[in-house]
Amino acid sequence: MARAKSRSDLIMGLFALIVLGSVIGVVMILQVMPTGVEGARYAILFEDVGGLGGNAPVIVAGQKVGKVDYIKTVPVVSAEGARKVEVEVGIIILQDYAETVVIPADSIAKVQMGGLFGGNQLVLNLGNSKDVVRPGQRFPAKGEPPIEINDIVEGAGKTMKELEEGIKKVTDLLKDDRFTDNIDKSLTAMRSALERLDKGLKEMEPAFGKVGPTFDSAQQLLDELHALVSQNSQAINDTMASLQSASGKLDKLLGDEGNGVPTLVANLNSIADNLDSLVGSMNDLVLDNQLNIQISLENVREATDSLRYFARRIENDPSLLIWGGSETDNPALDRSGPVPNVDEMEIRNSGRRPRKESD
Amino acid sequence: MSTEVRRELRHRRTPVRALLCLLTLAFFLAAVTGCGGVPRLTTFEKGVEYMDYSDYPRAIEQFHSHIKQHGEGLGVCYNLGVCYFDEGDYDQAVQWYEKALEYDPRDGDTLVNLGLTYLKQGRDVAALSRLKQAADVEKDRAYPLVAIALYYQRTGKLDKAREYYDEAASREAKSGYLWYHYGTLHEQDQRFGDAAQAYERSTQFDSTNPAAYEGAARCYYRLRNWRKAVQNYDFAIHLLPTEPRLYVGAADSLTELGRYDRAVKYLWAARGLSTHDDAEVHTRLLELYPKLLEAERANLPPVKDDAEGNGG
Repeated sequence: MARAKSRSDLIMGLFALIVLGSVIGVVMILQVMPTGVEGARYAILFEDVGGLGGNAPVIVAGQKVGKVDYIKTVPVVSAEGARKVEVEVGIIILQDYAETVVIPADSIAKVQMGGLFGGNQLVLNLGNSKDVVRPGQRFPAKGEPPIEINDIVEGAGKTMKELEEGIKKVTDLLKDDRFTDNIDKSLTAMRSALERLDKGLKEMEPAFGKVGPTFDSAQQLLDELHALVSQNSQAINDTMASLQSASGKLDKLLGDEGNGVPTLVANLNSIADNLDSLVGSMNDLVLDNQLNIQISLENVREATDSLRYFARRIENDPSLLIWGGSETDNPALDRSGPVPNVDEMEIRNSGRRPRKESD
Repeated sequence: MSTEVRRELRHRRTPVRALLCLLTLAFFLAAVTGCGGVPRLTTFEKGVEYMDYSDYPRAIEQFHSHIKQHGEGLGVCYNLGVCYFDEGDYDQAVQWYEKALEYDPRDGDTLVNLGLTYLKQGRDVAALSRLKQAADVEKDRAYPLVAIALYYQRTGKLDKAREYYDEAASREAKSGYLWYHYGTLHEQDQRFGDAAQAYERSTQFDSTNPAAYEGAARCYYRLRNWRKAVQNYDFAIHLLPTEPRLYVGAADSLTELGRYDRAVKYLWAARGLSTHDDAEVHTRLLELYPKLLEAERANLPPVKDDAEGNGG
């Protein structure tokens, strides 16, 4: 009986060893063996892949056409010397789709959440370019990371908080007697700033007027700036008139009712009888003006951004003032990419043999 | 239920339990070995990546940490030698190449690089000895002979260098490395036609070498073939867009072709890329603007004074 038991234990042990060995063997074979998937391979560079998985599906027009082949990190040194790590994602478009899925050069790859419980997936938004990315090549455009729900919630929370603070500030402002004066001064300062800008541009115009036939783009920019300034001046003048009417010229406005004064006068006339209504209408007025100020400030910011960019282009290539040119023509502007800290030509000339890829 | 039946059941359950345990172990092993996960780069591979981006300090850091983890080997010692060589630290480069030779004394690449490093240090005899050793080891390859030719070229013995280049060409004609350096010899010898051909042959076998395209462009410029010069400069700029010298060369060729507007753009690009204010670029621009004005004037439509003449 005891002999039979020990024999049974031996068989059991052997069986266990065989199973363990085969499991380890299978694991190792699976690691070493290539996936065996045939198809067209491409690579995409991402700044952030948002936890994209190794075998995540590749989707085109809602259809799974391939899968992620590999994900590897790529060290990058920027022109300013800053170091960062980007991620290269290799994808395989399966053989069945390789002929139909042609990828234009302006296509964008996005990492999307596959669902509430599913992993992430790589979605290819195909572009319209005539040039195509060939198998084995890397997408010219960088991939876009997924939008995190946490970011959206955080953004919404932040906006709500800012809104609350804004409302509180407006309420405080309404309690302050000097608020109309403040707005008045701000708008006057802004108007004078815009006038100066307009004047400056007018002074620049003769210089631009002398330019050759290829200066159309710069002239167009100037026209746009003029239009921007004149529109905003009008908006500010309107705002100023409303404010002045509301704050300091109540009596005059009341007297002008019969001469077709603006709607604002009618409102003020009615609120003169009722202090509560006056406070309500003033509140509306301040809110309206706040919006106008915001729009005006945004426009001014855009205008100054355009001017700064234009100034940078001129600084980079003063010949633009004479010959003009398109934004893509200047190869030195907005150049990105790593700058090697060694002289590559010197290395090529040295005749040294290349690096080894394995130890 | 009798005792016999219970014992029988217990015997049957034991393998099932063992199987479950084994399966758990298998999953654990699979998880530990990273089966199905994203493969991570080793320190060595990271070092190689940094070398590709010419970030040698980081590459050196990675290779040293690789040595700490896995010990020294041919590849890591050789790559450290390459990093120090490119950084211009020849003493360190020699030290690491010699270490690499301890792991494989017959490695041709290491012998050639060590020889060229000795040459940089002015140790001519040691250099030639290592290069000849490489030529003995790699009997079918051209590169050790090219390295010996480079040795003679740099020590001023151009005829001897030419002999070695020719022998290298008979060994392995399809070598970009060979034709590029043969081009430099022809150019040094003022034979620009041969040099341009050699450089262009080099680009046929290695299209990633901007120096070969630049060499071809330089020679075509000397041969007054401006169009080919511009074409080759453009190829070189495509491969190495951060080198101001290429833009200046292209601008010179474009000026000769009468393409003043494009030449101006290249010169301003060169100015933007220069780390210092380059007087050569400014001089060229000053010379170019009057030509550009003249060309623009010539392009203007003629003034219609015929009508006035008829009317009067």
